[in-house]
Amino acid sequence: MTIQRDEEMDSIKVRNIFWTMRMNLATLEAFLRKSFISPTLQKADEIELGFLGIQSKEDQIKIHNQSIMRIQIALLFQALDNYFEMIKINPELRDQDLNAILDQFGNIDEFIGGMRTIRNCIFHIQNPNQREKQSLATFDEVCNQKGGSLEVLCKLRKALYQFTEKCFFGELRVFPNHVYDMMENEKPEILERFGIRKPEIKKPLSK
Amino acid sequence: MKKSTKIKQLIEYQLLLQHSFHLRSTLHIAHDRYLQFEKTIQDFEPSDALFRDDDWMKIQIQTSKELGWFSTKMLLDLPQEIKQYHFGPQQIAFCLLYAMIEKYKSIMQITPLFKDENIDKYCYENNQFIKLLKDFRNSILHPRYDNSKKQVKFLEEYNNSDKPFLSLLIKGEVLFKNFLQRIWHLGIKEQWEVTHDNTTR
Repeated sequence: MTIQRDEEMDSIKVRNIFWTMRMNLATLEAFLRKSFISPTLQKADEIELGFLGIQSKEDQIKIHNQSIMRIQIALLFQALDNYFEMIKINPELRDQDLNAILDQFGNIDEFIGGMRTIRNCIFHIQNPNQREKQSLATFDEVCNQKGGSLEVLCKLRKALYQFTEKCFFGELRVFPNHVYDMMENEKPEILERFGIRKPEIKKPLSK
Repeated sequence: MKKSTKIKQLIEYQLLLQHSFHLRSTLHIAHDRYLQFEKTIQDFEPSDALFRDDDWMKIQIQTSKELGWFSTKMLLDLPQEIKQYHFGPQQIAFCLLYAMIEKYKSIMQITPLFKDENIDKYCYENNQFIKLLKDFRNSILHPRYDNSKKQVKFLEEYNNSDKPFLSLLIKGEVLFKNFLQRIWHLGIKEQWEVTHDNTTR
């Protein structure tokens, strides 16, 4: 009885974290879409972003884009942290495709540590200590090797969304079975409303 | 004043200045998202002032179209997500404001230079708002089982408070900018110039 109750509690926790992850991804989306200012397309003299002590329009654009990038990384870290928390509670949710993406970034602890440092700088205005500066340097180095911060960010973001898609469609089981049964019956109607293809509800991967 | 204290002041100032840039950029994004939301809802007439789930579904479809359908993956989800897309940056701005208040309170005790009467007055007069900000910020950064309760509480207060939260957010940002400008001229500038001279020699 106690074990069953613990499993139910774990399932509820995982679902709560899952929705938190989706919220973090939604907020990340808001910072990603049409948020950067192009120094070439935008007329510099029309820009007035109001940064204290920054007179040059070009510098204002640069600072804005850097800020937005850092905030995006902080939010992505939040979503990634949610994923790690979910698989800690339920290792069966481990996504091989997402893990393969993360493996591309070398020492994952250092890489994630760099993202965490950025998150702490943004949300706690913390001055990184020596170790944190090292992980930040590792993160920046990896991003430079892999095509830039934006490239890395978009790759991870896409992988996280695809993870959530697997959870929605049942390949990774976050919701109770009866929910997937209901979605299988109702999904065609929802998808018709959006006018897109009709994916099948997948059976869970065999152990 | 000891040189080490001056250097510490300069470091703290630079952190706060950088943070003020993050907050300002976030406010710009929040404003853009709000304008986009206004534009999106102009395309259809919501049933009443308080959006029902059906209305949010329509907004969701419309926003998904604007964002490119499947590339967003925000297609099969609760209305909360589309709300989060439009109002998430504003929420982040609240978190960043709280971070500044928290940082101010800690460094103000270290050095009298950083004490600001206007910020102290703002914090005193809006104590309840700041407590809500703290809970709200923590619910975003450190998810717990009671996250949604704290976030709902914040949103309820946001909608019902006699002091509009958005005004407090903007006022807070302006106060901190003025504060940074003031202490720059009171001593930080001098230390920055000394440090800059030393590093360029």
